[in-house]
Amino acid sequence: MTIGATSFFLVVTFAWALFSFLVVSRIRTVRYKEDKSSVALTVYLAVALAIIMATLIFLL
Amino acid sequence: MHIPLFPGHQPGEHIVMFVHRHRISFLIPVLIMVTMVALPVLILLVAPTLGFDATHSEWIIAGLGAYGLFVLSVAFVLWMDYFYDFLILTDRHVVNVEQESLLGRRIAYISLLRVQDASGKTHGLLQSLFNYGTVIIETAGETPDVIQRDVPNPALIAHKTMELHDALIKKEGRHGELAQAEGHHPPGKMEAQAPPR
Repeated sequence: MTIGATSFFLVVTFAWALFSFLVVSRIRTVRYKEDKSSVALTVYLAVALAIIMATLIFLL
Repeated sequence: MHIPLFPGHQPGEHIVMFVHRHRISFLIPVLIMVTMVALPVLILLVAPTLGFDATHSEWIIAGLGAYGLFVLSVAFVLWMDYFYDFLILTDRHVVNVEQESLLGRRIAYISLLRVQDASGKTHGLLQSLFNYGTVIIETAGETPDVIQRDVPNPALIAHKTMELHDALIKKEGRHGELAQAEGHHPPGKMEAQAPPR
């Protein structure tokens, strides 16, 4: 059962990674000079990484 | 070397106002996010009292992780929608950037010479309390109007737009053309153009 749940979460993580790639690419096109979006992007990626790591630690 | 501050920024073009949406307008997305975070917590607190069977807890953890990533992604897209909506007033143009969705974006460049009318509108309790609202800039011809929502001090922005418009008309010496377009022909010219009797 743990394998099933872990596999499910890994698939979700992969989908999230694809989505984040799209988001980062989008920000690169819409951002302007002196834009502080890199701070928000860093927070977003850090929180997501924390969620992924915490979930995997609980699962494995 | 000229580094553009926004797409279409011309060398020597001076930015007078760079207006983002008011922070209070982000309150509703924040409330949506708080509700989305609180919902699974409430369910997990209530579930044991309803005789919840915790034998498949690994699926709950995986589900919570997936839900967390989902909520975070939704929050980030909402933030992008808020942050990348802005209005720029330069000494030559009005540039309205509207992030409609993650992949949808609308940028309107309008010459200040084409501006006919600008107005600011506040509506409701929050907008009146925090002095933010909608700026509407109307233009001549078929060019669509500029409508930017939730900007702080809309009346001041509308006033500044018209002030810049008048200054540019004066600078470019287009006052005669403008008067003619509005139907106020200079009397000297009218007499000169009148057919002989």
